Amino acid sequence: MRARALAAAGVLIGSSCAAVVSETRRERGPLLRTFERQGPKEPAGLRAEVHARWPSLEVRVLSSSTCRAEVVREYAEEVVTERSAKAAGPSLALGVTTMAVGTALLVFRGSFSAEPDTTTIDGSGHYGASQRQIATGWGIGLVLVGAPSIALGGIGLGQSGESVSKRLVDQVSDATESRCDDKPVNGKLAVLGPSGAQEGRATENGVVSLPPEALRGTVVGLALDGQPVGLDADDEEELEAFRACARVLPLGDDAAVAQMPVPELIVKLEAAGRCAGLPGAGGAEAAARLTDALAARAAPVSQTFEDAVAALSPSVALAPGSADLVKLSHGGVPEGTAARLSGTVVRSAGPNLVLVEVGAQDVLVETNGAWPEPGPRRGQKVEAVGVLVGRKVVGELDAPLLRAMFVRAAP
Amino acid sequence: MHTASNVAHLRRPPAAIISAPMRAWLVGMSIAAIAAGCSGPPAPDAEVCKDLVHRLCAPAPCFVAINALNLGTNCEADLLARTRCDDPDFTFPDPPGRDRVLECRRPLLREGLELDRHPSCVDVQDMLDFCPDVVAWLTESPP
Repeated sequence: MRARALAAAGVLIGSSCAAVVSETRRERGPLLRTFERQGPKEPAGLRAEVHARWPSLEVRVLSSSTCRAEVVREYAEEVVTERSAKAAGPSLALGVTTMAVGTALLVFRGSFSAEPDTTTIDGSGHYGASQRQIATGWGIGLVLVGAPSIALGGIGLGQSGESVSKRLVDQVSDATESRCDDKPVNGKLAVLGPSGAQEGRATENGVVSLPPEALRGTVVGLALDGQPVGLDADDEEELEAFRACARVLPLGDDAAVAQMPVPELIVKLEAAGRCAGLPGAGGAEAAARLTDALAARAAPVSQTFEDAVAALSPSVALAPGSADLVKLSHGGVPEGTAARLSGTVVRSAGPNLVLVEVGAQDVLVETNGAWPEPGPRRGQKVEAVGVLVGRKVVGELDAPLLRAMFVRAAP
Repeated sequence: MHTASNVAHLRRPPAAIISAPMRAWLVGMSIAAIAAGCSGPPAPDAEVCKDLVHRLCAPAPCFVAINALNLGTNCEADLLARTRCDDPDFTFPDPPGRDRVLECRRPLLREGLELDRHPSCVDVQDMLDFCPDVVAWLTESPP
């Protein structure tokens, strides 16, 4: 009897729980307008603009920002929130029924017999409850359960429904970034070499002039008061041309040129070729004089391999496993060094430019004359004699460059 | 003209309207209300005594009861005569007293509260083993 009563109470209480489920959906409406707006500015650091006016290089240091312009599409959007309590209806119905039965039992409790159940005596020595007691107990229990069930069902139904709110939504459809807010910066500009920064030169209104001697050696970058200064590709190219001029100019008189060893002639010719791109510096004239001098000393096309070896007297032998190759890979071979190379063609890297693999080291071989028949092809074993003229960057490739005077297929 | 070009659904977890403490209170109140209506007034000693005798002698009486209580063929009549429960003004002697008799009667209720429910003989044995004072009263032996 008691167990049945507890089970019934549990069912009734369990039914009194009504959960509210909230579901939100967004419905995008039509495009209202498209407009452009400026995004936040980001500092872009220091950069330099380079203007070569031989014999000085004018460097203008600027600080700038990156400005972001966004094309924005504005839409109308409706946010629809639907709330539903699936258990509210059953909870309300069961609550009403339970409440009605409970109330009826309490109202009509007087109709039930008040005589105890004398057919049973429980463990404590009491008779069984009278029908009126039982009706009263159930009536109270049902009312206690029914009332909250009605209340909860009502709340659930009250909370059910749909609410709609409208708002504007921005969507960035396109964004462009550009440099802006260029401002000259003053400080001490230093040229960075492999062994560190040179002595700095003070800028005035962001501008400083550098003499050729400041840029004659290897340059790895620029710094203003220790902060790195970047260069655009055009400015970097102009800086390299100025450096080439600084290495070759002044060339000296004809007697001095005539006394230059062949490797030096080749190195200076390389630099003069680059310097020729700088108007007014005299690089083209120097290149012509060097070409003539080189032709007089060692005709590049007509000579044999042995003649070229004899003319250059290469002091470095670049062959797989050679000590000189290890020195080259560690940057231990200076520019202008005559070298003899034995390797395997990897691919053509440009007009008159072939990538050759020497052991684990790649070397770019540049020739003015024709490549031995049938032309460069992968896997071809070649021998070359020429002058190392520094490094060359071709795309992602950065390798030592050998200006070859003669190339032949390896025997 | 409204165009639903992009519809996103966000479902939130359901929220229970009734909290756990509230539900526990409802359960407790309901159990208390129902329990309050489950028993009537205390039964007189005579009725408790006759209930005990009836359960011990419900046919067929357990052998352990007959043996321990020295009962003859008319078990119920013998015990009623010994205890004098037939008297409407009967009250339990002390010892064993009403509370002790009720305590010792409990094993006989394990099979059910109904009067015609025969107790198991194991329960009868329990009652006889653990209630020597009641056995003494039922056999009219001095305590």
